Amino acid sequence: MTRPGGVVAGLLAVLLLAPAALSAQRTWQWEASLAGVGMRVRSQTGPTIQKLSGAVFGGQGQLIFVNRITLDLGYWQGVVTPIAGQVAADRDVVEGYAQLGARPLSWVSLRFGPHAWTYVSNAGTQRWFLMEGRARVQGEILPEIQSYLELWNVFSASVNVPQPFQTGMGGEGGLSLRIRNVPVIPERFPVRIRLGYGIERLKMEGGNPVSLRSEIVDRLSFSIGIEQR
Amino acid sequence: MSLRKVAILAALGAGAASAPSAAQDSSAAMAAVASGVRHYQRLEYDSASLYLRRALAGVSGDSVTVAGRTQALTYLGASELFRGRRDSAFAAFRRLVVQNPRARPDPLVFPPEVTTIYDFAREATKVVAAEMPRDTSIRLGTDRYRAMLHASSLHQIIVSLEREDGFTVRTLYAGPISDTMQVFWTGEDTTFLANDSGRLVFTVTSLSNAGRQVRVMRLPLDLVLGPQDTLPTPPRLPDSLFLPEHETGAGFRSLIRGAGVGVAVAVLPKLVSSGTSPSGSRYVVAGGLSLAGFIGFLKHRPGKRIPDNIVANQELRAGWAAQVQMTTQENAIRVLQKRLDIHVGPPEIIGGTQ
Repeated sequence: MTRPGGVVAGLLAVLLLAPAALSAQRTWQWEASLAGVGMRVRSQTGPTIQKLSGAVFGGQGQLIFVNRITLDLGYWQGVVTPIAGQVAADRDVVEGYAQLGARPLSWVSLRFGPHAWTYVSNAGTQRWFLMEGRARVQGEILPEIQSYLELWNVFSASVNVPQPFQTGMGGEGGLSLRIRNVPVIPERFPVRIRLGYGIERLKMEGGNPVSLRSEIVDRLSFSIGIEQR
Repeated sequence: MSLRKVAILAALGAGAASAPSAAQDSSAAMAAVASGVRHYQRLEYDSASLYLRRALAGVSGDSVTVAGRTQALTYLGASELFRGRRDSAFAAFRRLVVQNPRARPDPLVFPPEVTTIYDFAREATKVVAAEMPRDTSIRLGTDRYRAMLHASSLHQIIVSLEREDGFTVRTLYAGPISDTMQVFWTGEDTTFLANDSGRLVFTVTSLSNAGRQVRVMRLPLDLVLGPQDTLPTPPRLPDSLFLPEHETGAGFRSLIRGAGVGVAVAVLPKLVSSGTSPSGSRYVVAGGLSLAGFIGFLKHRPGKRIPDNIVANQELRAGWAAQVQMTTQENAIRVLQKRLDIHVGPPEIIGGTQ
């Protein structure tokens, strides 16, 4: 397992070595949005596979300091239910993250921090607490439209199941539309609409195939929010 | 208070406030001035007067500076006064006024008795000093040559430009002067100069109250007429200032950022969790990205004209052309104008106390 302290030190090193292009930038920038996520969950425990889907709703935001240091926060909650033909209990889902990051280049950002979610069902409460490191690249397709691609790795996980954490990784891509110079939208606070797709897989293994546990979550997310850049 | 007590106080004040250091100037004449001042401060007025006169006469073989001369004459006048020789003091102060009409004994250093007799000397001496640049150039028809005149006291003067043979070319000013005034000359009287060079004499004549000439100061002006400097033509604008007028790689970049990320999203499940059956919703995002990328490519396809940049470049070229035109016009004017170089020679004083 990679030590989180090493990753943080690496992030700081990248930040400090990055060329400074801080002039003419606001000290603080931010964005906040409301999000709806269509979630599909595939839980496998030994030979048993449960597939659930549903929607969670919440919000997310980002705070940027001197165009270099970032703090990302997000929170959603909702319900996922078994898809047709599956026998499983409904699960209430509560999910959130708080990650600190850096933008060494205008088109690259890195962040690190906890990502947690909880499933609450009749069978009990299952808590997932992951420490993730994420890297994102973004680019302009048109002046108003940006694309992004993000990949991440799970460095450690704490889950209240018997099997120990083995590996975890994920990815997300999407596009965002920035709307400004429209009469109803204040010029200082342009609106950003984002559509993205992401998938994440975690594996836990008890030593024999019967006790293998894996969790695959894919998400189609749509958000709308305002920003000050 | 007796005259001697006043002198003691004055000497103490002078010692505290303005005693010069001989180390500041290594010349023998200045050392003599310093010695004279030291003796004055010790109330040894006879020896002070002796040292100061030696310094002013240049007995040591060199002469004092202008500032040293002002200081020596001031202390000499004060020393002579305290020796009881008012006439000598008056004469020393007259010399001081002639040498530097703006000089004044410091009232913090010298007592009122000294400044009063100095004021009498200044009032009785009608002198003007001229302050003008030693070497300068003016544009004929545009600039003016300026001379600053400093008078010792109120009197009538005549300021004129003369030829060397004494013929008055132009009278610049005739009237009273009290303290300071400026006199201007446009330089137009030089058009008669042969070979575009020659000499005029800047003359300031001081008149007594009875209208009699008491002092004439003549400053030779060596004049050279020449063509005026022209402005350099603005250099051609470097290519780096111009914006590209046709699209090059922006369309491909949009395509990669759109369709490329779209493909990545489509294959993301295979990379992250192969062997599972991910949702088809990713194709919505991948399709949106590909569509945006394709639109971006069409909008910025290679070779397409960029109207905004074309307009900006045209404005840049027009600005440069306007600069060239302005420079050409200015230079055409400058070719017709002349430049007058003026060098001021050493002054010649006629009459009065030199």
